[in-house]
Amino acid sequence: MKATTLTIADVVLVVTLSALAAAMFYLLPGLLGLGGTEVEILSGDRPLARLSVNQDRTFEASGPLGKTTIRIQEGRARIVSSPCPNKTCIMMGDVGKEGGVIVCLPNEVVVRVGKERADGLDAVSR
Amino acid sequence: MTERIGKLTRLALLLALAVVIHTAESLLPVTVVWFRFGFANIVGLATLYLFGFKDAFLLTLGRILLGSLVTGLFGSPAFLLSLAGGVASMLAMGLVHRYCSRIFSEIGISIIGAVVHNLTQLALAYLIIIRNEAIFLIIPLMILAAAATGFINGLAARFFVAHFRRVSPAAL
Repeated sequence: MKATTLTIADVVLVVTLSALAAAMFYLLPGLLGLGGTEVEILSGDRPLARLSVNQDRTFEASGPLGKTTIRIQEGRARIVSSPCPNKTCIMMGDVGKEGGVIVCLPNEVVVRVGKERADGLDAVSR
Repeated sequence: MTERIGKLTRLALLLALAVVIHTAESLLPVTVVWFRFGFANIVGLATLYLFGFKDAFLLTLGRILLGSLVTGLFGSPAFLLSLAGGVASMLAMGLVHRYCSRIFSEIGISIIGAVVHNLTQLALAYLIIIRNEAIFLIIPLMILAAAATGFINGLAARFFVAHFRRVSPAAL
């Protein structure tokens, strides 16, 4: 056997793992049920509001630069206006029940859509 | 008698080597290399081929215990993760080596060990540290990283075993 020879089983293993990884990449978010209907708005790490994604409304979050306007409409949340220089947060588009996060870094505003959480912590590690 | 001493000496050297690799790798910055290569497992895998499952298992346990004392992580969550991953992956590699060593080469067994290592760690991390299902989103990336590092380590173990048998024919 040459130094770098793979057996057939080795190749099958690598191909199977790659296919599994690719499949999971697309299927896992759905399987894990990560979405939710809660819209949590934070200024820095301070929670400002917990809203429902199903209830249309407009919310103004104040940050260091000024007011960021968040609009919830037809089950989706988005940032519609922001005092930040490059408007990346507006370009991030909208997030619905599938879950996700929109962040305005300059104005330190975070809009998170997902499941309700019992406490405010994602994780504690050393 | 001399045979037993010879084996003991070789295993002691392998353990020392494994601890050094384990410690050296813990110095890599996680900000740049977000996964571990698990180079110490090259020695574990080579021991499996050279001396069998029992010695390889003890070597892995010893490596994690001594390595964690050197890095100062003994008893920490990171140590628990390391221990669980090492034990599970050595069990998996031992089983595959015992029953399927004809069809899988060192590389295949190494990849299986790496995948089992990662999945065990992730499951345990979920249980004891991060109770958030979102961490399982990283499984596809972990599988790919495990396949890559497992391949490299398996190849290295193959050279290691060949070289070891050449310079130390009394071993087996």
